Amino acid sequence: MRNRIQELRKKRKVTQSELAEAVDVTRQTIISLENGKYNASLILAHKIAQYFEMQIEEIFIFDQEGENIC
Amino acid sequence: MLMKLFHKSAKTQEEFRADLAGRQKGFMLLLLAGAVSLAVGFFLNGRADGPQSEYLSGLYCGMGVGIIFASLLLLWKNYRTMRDAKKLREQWLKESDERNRALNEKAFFLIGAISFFVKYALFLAAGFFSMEVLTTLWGLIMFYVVGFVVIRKILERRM
Repeated sequence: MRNRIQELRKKRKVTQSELAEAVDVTRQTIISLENGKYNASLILAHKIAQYFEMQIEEIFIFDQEGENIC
Repeated sequence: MLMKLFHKSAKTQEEFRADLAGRQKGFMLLLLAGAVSLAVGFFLNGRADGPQSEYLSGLYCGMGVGIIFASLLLLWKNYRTMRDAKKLREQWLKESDERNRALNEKAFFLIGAISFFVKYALFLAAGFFSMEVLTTLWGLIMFYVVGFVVIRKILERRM
Protein backbone atom coordinates (compact mmCIF):
# COMPACT_ATOMS: atom_id res chain seq x y z
CA MET A 1 0.00 0.00 0.00
CA ARG A 2 1.43 3.35 -1.07
CA ASN A 3 0.06 6.69 0.00
CA ARG A 4 0.25 10.34 -1.02
CA ILE A 5 0.04 11.82 2.48
CA GLN A 6 3.42 13.57 2.38
CA GLU A 7 2.77 14.98 -1.09
CA LEU A 8 -0.68 16.31 -0.16
CA ARG A 9 0.50 17.61 3.19
CA LYS A 10 3.37 19.56 1.63
CA LYS A 11 1.14 20.87 -1.15
CA ARG A 12 -1.23 22.28 1.48
CA LYS A 13 1.61 23.46 3.75
CA VAL A 14 0.41 21.40 6.67
CA THR A 15 2.90 20.14 9.27
CA GLN A 16 2.98 16.54 10.47
CA SER A 17 1.92 17.74 13.93
CA GLU A 18 -1.08 19.62 12.54
CA LEU A 19 -2.22 16.62 10.54
CA ALA A 20 -1.67 14.31 13.51
CA GLU A 21 -3.70 16.64 15.75
CA ALA A 22 -6.51 16.82 13.17
CA VAL A 23 -6.88 13.06 12.77
CA ASP A 24 -6.29 12.20 16.47
CA VAL A 25 -3.04 10.27 16.19
CA THR A 26 0.54 10.91 17.28
CA ARG A 27 3.05 12.64 14.99
CA GLN A 28 5.07 9.42 14.97
CA THR A 29 2.15 7.64 13.29
CA ILE A 30 2.09 10.24 10.50
CA ILE A 31 5.86 9.83 10.06
CA SER A 32 5.50 6.04 9.82
CA LEU A 33 2.63 6.37 7.34
CA GLU A 34 4.65 8.73 5.15
CA ASN A 35 7.68 6.42 5.27
CA GLY A 36 5.51 3.46 4.31
CA LYS A 37 6.42 1.62 7.52
CA TYR A 38 2.84 1.44 8.74
CA ASN A 39 -0.49 0.97 6.95
CA ALA A 40 -3.40 3.02 8.24
CA SER A 41 -6.57 1.34 9.48
CA LEU A 42 -9.75 1.94 7.53
CA ILE A 43 -10.91 4.46 10.16
CA LEU A 44 -7.67 6.44 10.04
CA ALA A 45 -7.62 6.31 6.23
CA HIS A 46 -11.16 7.69 6.27
CA LYS A 47 -10.20 10.50 8.66
CA ILE A 48 -7.19 11.44 6.51
CA ALA A 49 -9.33 11.42 3.37
CA GLN A 50 -11.90 13.65 5.09
CA TYR A 51 -9.14 16.02 6.19
CA PHE A 52 -7.84 16.40 2.62
CA GLU A 53 -11.43 16.37 1.26
CA MET A 54 -10.61 13.54 -1.12
CA GLN A 55 -11.62 9.94 -1.74
CA ILE A 56 -9.65 7.26 0.17
CA GLU A 57 -8.43 5.64 -3.05
CA GLU A 58 -7.01 8.98 -4.23
CA ILE A 59 -4.69 9.02 -1.21
CA PHE A 60 -4.06 5.34 -0.53
CA ILE A 61 -2.94 3.43 -3.60
CA PHE A 62 -3.41 -0.31 -3.39
CA ASP A 63 -0.35 -2.08 -4.75
CA GLN A 64 -1.50 -5.58 -5.66
CA GLU A 65 2.01 -6.99 -6.12
CA GLY A 66 3.30 -5.37 -2.94
CA GLU A 67 0.47 -6.91 -0.94
CA ASN A 68 1.20 -10.35 -2.43
CA ILE A 69 -2.41 -10.88 -3.58
CA CYS A 70 -3.15 -12.83 -6.75
CA MET B 1 1.17 -1.47 30.23
CA LEU B 2 -1.09 -4.50 30.54
CA MET B 3 -3.98 -2.25 31.53
CA LYS B 4 -3.35 -0.08 28.49
CA LEU B 5 -3.16 -3.07 26.18
CA PHE B 6 -6.44 -4.64 27.23
CA HIS B 7 -8.15 -1.36 27.84
CA LYS B 8 -10.90 -0.59 25.36
CA SER B 9 -9.99 2.54 23.46
CA ALA B 10 -12.03 5.55 24.58
CA LYS B 11 -13.55 7.28 21.55
CA THR B 12 -13.69 10.75 23.10
CA GLN B 13 -11.66 12.62 25.68
CA GLU B 14 -14.61 12.64 28.06
CA GLU B 15 -14.84 8.85 27.81
CA PHE B 16 -11.10 8.74 28.44
CA ARG B 17 -11.46 10.96 31.54
CA ALA B 18 -14.08 8.51 32.85
CA ASP B 19 -11.71 5.63 32.10
CA LEU B 20 -8.95 7.32 34.05
CA ALA B 21 -11.30 7.74 37.00
CA GLY B 22 -11.98 4.00 36.83
CA ARG B 23 -8.26 3.29 36.74
CA GLN B 24 -7.83 5.08 40.07
CA LYS B 25 -9.75 2.19 41.68
CA GLY B 26 -7.32 -0.27 40.08
CA PHE B 27 -4.37 1.69 41.44
CA MET B 28 -5.98 1.68 44.91
CA LEU B 29 -6.15 -2.13 44.68
CA LEU B 30 -2.48 -2.15 43.69
CA LEU B 31 -1.72 -0.03 46.77
CA LEU B 32 -3.58 -2.57 48.87
CA ALA B 33 -1.60 -5.43 47.28
CA GLY B 34 1.61 -3.61 48.18
CA ALA B 35 0.45 -3.15 51.79
CA VAL B 36 -0.45 -6.87 51.99
CA SER B 37 3.00 -7.85 50.64
CA LEU B 38 4.66 -5.60 53.20
CA ALA B 39 2.52 -7.05 56.00
CA VAL B 40 3.39 -10.62 54.94
CA GLY B 41 7.07 -9.63 54.88
CA PHE B 42 6.88 -8.28 58.45
CA PHE B 43 4.90 -11.34 59.54
CA LEU B 44 7.61 -13.71 58.19
CA ASN B 45 10.41 -11.75 59.81
CA GLY B 46 11.79 -13.86 62.67
CA ARG B 47 8.90 -16.36 62.57
CA ALA B 48 10.89 -19.18 60.99
CA ASP B 49 14.51 -20.18 61.28
CA GLY B 50 17.07 -20.24 58.56
CA PRO B 51 18.29 -17.94 55.81
CA GLN B 52 15.31 -18.76 53.56
CA SER B 53 12.76 -17.04 55.81
CA GLU B 54 15.02 -14.01 56.13
CA TYR B 55 15.36 -13.88 52.37
CA LEU B 56 11.59 -14.23 51.84
CA SER B 57 10.85 -11.57 54.44
CA GLY B 58 13.22 -9.17 52.68
CA LEU B 59 11.80 -10.05 49.28
CA TYR B 60 8.16 -9.49 50.33
CA CYS B 61 8.99 -6.26 52.16
CA GLY B 62 10.97 -4.97 49.17
CA MET B 63 8.21 -5.88 46.73
CA GLY B 64 5.58 -4.36 49.01
CA VAL B 65 7.43 -1.04 49.30
CA GLY B 66 8.05 -1.00 45.55
CA ILE B 67 4.38 -1.65 44.75
CA ILE B 68 3.22 0.97 47.27
CA PHE B 69 5.49 3.64 45.76
CA ALA B 70 4.56 2.68 42.19
CA SER B 71 0.82 2.78 42.93
CA LEU B 72 1.11 6.16 44.72
CA LEU B 73 3.01 7.52 41.73
CA LEU B 74 0.38 6.18 39.32
CA LEU B 75 -2.46 7.60 41.43
CA TRP B 76 -0.82 11.04 41.50
CA LYS B 77 0.06 10.99 37.77
CA ASN B 78 -3.44 9.85 36.82
CA TYR B 79 -5.03 12.52 39.05
CA ARG B 80 -2.91 15.25 37.42
CA THR B 81 -3.79 13.99 33.93
CA MET B 82 -7.51 14.05 34.73
CA ARG B 83 -7.33 17.67 35.91
CA ASP B 84 -5.18 19.08 33.10
CA ALA B 85 -6.92 19.32 29.69
CA LYS B 86 -3.62 19.43 27.77
CA LYS B 87 -2.18 16.42 29.56
CA LEU B 88 -5.49 14.58 29.15
CA ARG B 89 -5.43 15.08 25.37
CA GLU B 90 -1.77 14.07 25.12
CA GLN B 91 -2.38 10.90 27.12
CA TRP B 92 -5.55 10.08 25.17
CA LEU B 93 -3.71 10.48 21.86
CA LYS B 94 -0.85 8.33 23.12
CA GLU B 95 -3.14 5.54 24.25
CA SER B 96 -5.72 5.65 21.47
CA ASP B 97 -3.11 5.97 18.71
CA GLU B 98 -3.61 2.89 16.52
CA ARG B 99 0.09 2.47 15.78
CA ASN B 100 0.95 2.48 19.49
CA ARG B 101 -1.74 -0.13 20.11
CA ALA B 102 -0.47 -2.27 17.23
CA LEU B 103 3.07 -2.00 18.60
CA ASN B 104 1.92 -3.14 22.06
CA GLU B 105 0.04 -6.09 20.57
CA LYS B 106 3.01 -7.16 18.45
CA ALA B 107 5.43 -6.81 21.37
CA PHE B 108 3.16 -8.93 23.57
CA PHE B 109 2.78 -11.54 20.83
CA LEU B 110 6.54 -11.76 20.28
CA ILE B 111 7.48 -11.96 23.96
CA GLY B 112 4.72 -14.55 24.46
CA ALA B 113 6.08 -16.69 21.62
CA ILE B 114 9.70 -16.32 22.77
CA SER B 115 8.87 -17.15 26.39
CA PHE B 116 6.92 -20.21 25.23
CA PHE B 117 9.93 -21.61 23.31
CA VAL B 118 12.34 -20.73 26.13
CA LYS B 119 10.08 -22.57 28.60
CA TYR B 120 9.93 -25.56 26.29
CA ALA B 121 13.74 -25.67 25.91
CA LEU B 122 14.14 -25.41 29.70
CA PHE B 123 11.49 -28.11 30.13
CA LEU B 124 13.53 -30.50 27.96
CA ALA B 125 16.74 -29.66 29.83
CA ALA B 126 15.09 -29.88 33.27
CA GLY B 127 14.40 -33.60 32.80
CA PHE B 128 18.13 -34.22 33.35
CA PHE B 129 18.44 -32.54 36.75
CA SER B 130 15.14 -31.75 38.52
CA MET B 131 11.66 -33.27 38.43
CA GLU B 132 10.26 -30.25 40.37
CA VAL B 133 11.51 -27.79 37.76
CA LEU B 134 10.27 -30.07 34.96
CA THR B 135 6.78 -30.34 36.50
CA THR B 136 6.58 -26.57 37.10
CA LEU B 137 7.58 -25.82 33.51
CA TRP B 138 5.17 -28.44 32.20
CA GLY B 139 2.38 -26.78 34.18
CA LEU B 140 3.31 -23.36 32.81
CA ILE B 141 3.41 -24.66 29.22
CA MET B 142 -0.01 -26.31 29.63
CA PHE B 143 -1.41 -23.14 31.24
CA TYR B 144 -0.15 -21.14 28.25
CA VAL B 145 -1.61 -23.55 25.67
CA VAL B 146 -5.00 -23.96 27.40
CA GLY B 147 -5.15 -20.23 28.20
CA PHE B 148 -4.47 -19.36 24.57
CA VAL B 149 -7.27 -21.62 23.31
CA VAL B 150 -9.79 -20.34 25.90
CA ILE B 151 -8.97 -16.66 25.35
CA ARG B 152 -9.09 -17.10 21.59
CA LYS B 153 -12.56 -18.71 21.82
CA ILE B 154 -13.80 -15.83 23.99
CA LEU B 155 -12.40 -13.24 21.57
CA GLU B 156 -13.85 -15.15 18.59
CA ARG B 157 -17.36 -14.56 19.93
CA ARG B 158 -16.73 -10.83 20.29
CA MET B 159 -15.10 -10.23 16.93
